[in-house]
Amino acid sequence: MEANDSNFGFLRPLDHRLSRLGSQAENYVHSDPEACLFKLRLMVEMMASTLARITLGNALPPELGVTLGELERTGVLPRHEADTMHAIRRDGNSAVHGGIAPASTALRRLRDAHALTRWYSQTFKNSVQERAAEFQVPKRPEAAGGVDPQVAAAERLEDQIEERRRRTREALLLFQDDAERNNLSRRYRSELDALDAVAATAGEADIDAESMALFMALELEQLLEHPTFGRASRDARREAQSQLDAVKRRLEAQESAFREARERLTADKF
Amino acid sequence: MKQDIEKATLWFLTARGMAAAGASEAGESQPAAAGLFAQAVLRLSEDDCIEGKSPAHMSRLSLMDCLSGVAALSIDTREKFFTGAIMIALLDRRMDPSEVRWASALASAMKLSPRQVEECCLGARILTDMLHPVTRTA
Repeated sequence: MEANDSNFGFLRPLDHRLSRLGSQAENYVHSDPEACLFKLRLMVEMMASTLARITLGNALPPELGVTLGELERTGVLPRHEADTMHAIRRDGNSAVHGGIAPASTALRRLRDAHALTRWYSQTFKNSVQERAAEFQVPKRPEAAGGVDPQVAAAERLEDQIEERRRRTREALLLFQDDAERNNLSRRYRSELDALDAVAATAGEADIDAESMALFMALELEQLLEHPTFGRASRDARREAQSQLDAVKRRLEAQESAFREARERLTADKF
Repeated sequence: MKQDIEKATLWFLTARGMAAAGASEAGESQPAAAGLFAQAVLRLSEDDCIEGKSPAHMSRLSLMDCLSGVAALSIDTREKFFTGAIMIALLDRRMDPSEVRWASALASAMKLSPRQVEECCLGARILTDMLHPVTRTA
């Protein structure tokens, strides 16, 4: 496949090494899936080290897995992209160490790598000139005796596993995608604002917001000083107290806004 | 089965309300937490979760529908729902006024006593610790 026809051709003006690796991975995807996965792993390594240099400074962790973890922990890598990078890293490692790598796995990771490089170029290279096209499956070279039945069976199995993964993911996630998350969150937030107004106007039954805030602040304090999170007790208490104060201030502001509105209304009427 | 789908719908509506109330983008700190809770604590199946939160079931429902729905649950399920909602609120180790308001609205609709609320918050904190999400610093 010529570089211009490559799914990764759009990367050339930004990073010709990444573009070349992507193109090489494409060339190997059907004929040598292990080599394809190895090239994809190199791409991930290259992107991770660039991101780490920009955001974490020169102290690069020695292992790719650690670097990715650090990038995710500091919020540089969104979860989805981090998962994709980890998956390519794992499959690349496995291929290098003699693991079985069917062409379908390599193809799936190639597709993942394409989506990843689109995100990378848009987010970190600020690429507006070069728009990546949709991923095109590289053509499979015709085998003399058609598709190997074992390969076909492995690919069917891979597809089943992929479908299983998709369903598990779908069942777990709170929202199916960003669009649904943004649309529904907007709607729910406006409902919550309305709920706020009703509570400030009509008062709350049983459990009022201030008591609720106190209960939550007590647990927050415990969470913040937990060894896995690691804050000193005094700091944890201060942080929880400051969050509690902020909530109380907001509730008081709502109350006083309501009182003022009522007084204005009364003054207008009488 | 139908009952479980309705329960899943109600749970994901409760959880989405809490996620939307947070200051950070909804559900970002631990996007699978609500699903894990549904399967592990509420004992809902994967299929029920998928069906329950499908637009066909959820798109017409508002948070007010959620409040009236949770009021009709058994006390055991109400406590579980409330625990899960607080868990979602605490995942980012922050407490936002809207989260507090949604929590107090839920607790009131569920007719939970202060003692029950306190116990649910404790359970939520333990679950949050178990999930140990990554905090967002950038």
